[in-house]
Amino acid sequence: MNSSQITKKDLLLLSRDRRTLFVLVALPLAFIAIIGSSTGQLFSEAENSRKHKLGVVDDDGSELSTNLIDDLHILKALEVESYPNQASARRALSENRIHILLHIGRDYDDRVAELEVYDILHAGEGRLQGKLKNFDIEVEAGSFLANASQLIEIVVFSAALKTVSPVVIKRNPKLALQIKKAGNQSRPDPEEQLAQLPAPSQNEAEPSSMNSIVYQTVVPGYTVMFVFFIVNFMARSFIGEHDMGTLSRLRLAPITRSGMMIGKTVPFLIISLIQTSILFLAGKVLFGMSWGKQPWLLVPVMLCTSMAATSLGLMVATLVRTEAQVSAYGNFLVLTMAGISGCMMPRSWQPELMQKLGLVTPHAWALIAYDQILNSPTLEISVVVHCCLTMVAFSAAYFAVGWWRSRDME
Amino acid sequence: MSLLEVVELRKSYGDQIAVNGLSFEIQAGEVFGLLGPNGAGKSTTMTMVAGLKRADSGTIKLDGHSMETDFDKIKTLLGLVPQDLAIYPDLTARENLNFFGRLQGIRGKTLRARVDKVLEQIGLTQNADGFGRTFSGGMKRRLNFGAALLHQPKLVILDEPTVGVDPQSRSHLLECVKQVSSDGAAVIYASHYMEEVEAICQRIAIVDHGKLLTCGTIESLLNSTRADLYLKVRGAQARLGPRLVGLAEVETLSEEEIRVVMHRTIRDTAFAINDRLTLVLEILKQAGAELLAVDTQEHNLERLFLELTGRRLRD
Repeated sequence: MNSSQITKKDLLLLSRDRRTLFVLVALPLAFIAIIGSSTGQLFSEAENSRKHKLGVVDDDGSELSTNLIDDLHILKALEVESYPNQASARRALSENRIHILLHIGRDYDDRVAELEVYDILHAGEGRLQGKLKNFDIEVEAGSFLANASQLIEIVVFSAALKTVSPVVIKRNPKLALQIKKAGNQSRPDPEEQLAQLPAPSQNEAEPSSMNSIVYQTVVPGYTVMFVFFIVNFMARSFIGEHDMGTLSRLRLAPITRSGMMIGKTVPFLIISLIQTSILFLAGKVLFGMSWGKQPWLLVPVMLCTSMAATSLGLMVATLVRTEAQVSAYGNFLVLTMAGISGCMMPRSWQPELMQKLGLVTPHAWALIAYDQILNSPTLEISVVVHCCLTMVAFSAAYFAVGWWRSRDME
Repeated sequence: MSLLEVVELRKSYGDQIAVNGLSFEIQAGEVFGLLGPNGAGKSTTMTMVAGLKRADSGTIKLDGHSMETDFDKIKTLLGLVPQDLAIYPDLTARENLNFFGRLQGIRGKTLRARVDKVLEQIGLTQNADGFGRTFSGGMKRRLNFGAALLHQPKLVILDEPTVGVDPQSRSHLLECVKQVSSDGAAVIYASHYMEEVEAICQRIAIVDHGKLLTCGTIESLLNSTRADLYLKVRGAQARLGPRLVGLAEVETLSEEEIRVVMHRTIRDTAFAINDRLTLVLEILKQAGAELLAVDTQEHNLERLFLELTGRRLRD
């Protein structure tokens, strides 16, 4: 078939075009690395720098206040650091060395001593009324977590309630005894309980760390975005044939219009599949991302995404006339579609309206499919199939427009 | 039977008529020159003959096959050398030829033999593995030509094949065209260079505003033209100028001598020039001018073209 000769020729030309390979492979890899490492700062707990820093000033100095601080130490999301006085802690807060300042007042111990069981069981009422200041505790959030100060107060209130509850209950001997008895009766045999526990397993869908969760989103997002950059290169290739005059030679060769279009499209489909494979491989090897419970499902999604991208490229190639138009319209189209579909930031971060709007792009369907395969704890194959079929429909529509427009070539 | 028959070809773009009832025939082994100023319709004619544009009306037949009904067959008989360099600069000369050969369905040993032959023909054997982008303008033009020869077409269409080419490559290209023609293929050759057309074409057609102005062998066309008459005259310059208006032009050669130029066109009848010459001689006699010499200037294609179209070829 003569279309295969065009395919071979274009593959040879593409393999010699370093600029194309750079944009399609090196650039997305760099983006993934940069965006991944940057956003990783917000999510990951792998490093201390990614924890919320809590500065504590303990003016009470009692056993109770020490217990509270120890409990806060247990929280993995917090890095607790003690300060001798409020002045030094406040300076650290203003210099952003800590994100939250927790001040335990000197009356903390006395306030706890006044509490009764009722106050503990009805924390929103009684002496506490759900407020930290009734413990003689103050929380001050810095600019980094200014919007989350109420949340932090709740966390500290809960921790304080947890540490003081046994103390308050123990002060009522009858209640303490009853609770102890009830606890002994209902406690199951530890060995029996152990036997009922499921055997520990390696769940492939669960990433090894919070850090790799970022790449579970960033790798498919930027891969899909850069797969569609093939649109520009395809359009340039078509325009190049026209500008060089080789299109006349192709038209005079014994090959049909469909054959010519297929011959020109297939090399870009192959390049696109290689590009996607390299990016996912790099995501696994370099960034520790998981390919999900059923990695084979990635193959049809990759194929359908590349088909949609190359069909869109074919359509654009038949709509534009000059390289300048490719640069202007092609880049606008590719970046806009990537933006509204959720390639640049997780779709779950987008408002509902944007999420719905994104569905007019094949990008969004690719991202939904990848999210289902890579991140969903309960993989629904029907969702992946639905996404793939939708992308095939996009491809067919783009190809049809391209084929119709290419009649000008005859 | 002619190899190529073009009958009453018409093509318009909106209100603009590009080709207006053009007809001509070309025989196998013949080099046919197509001349015309820019916008005359020759490129449109060639693209229609190549099947790249559809004619509004008229018929084109190549080797008995109609363009309308048998284009797939015609494709195999045609070789097109467009004015643009229709080669891939990032492929080597051999890769370019291999690609265009395979595209024509040639494979294996046949392809290798044809590619080697064409490389030799266009003088690029030594540069077969050089990339197109590294070639000089002339080498690129030769490769552009070679790409049209691989499938041994019966008709080769060359559109300005020597634009921007050094004399050596031009000479090589013209030799190639002659070789192709002597191998039996017909050639349509469009060029702005009259000396090229005179050197290689057996017949030419001059077109303007989409119409065929004349067509025939170069000899017959030049024989049909009239040489200008030059009368070298001494004295009476001041009196002669106004009196010769409409009959001849006066050129001053020196303080004493002038030249009276009587332009002639192929539209002049024999009587017309006789009458004009009698009148001019009478005026010279009355003015007391002395006739020193009578001379003529032979016509060439450039002159013929100017007479027919009123424009120089490269205007």
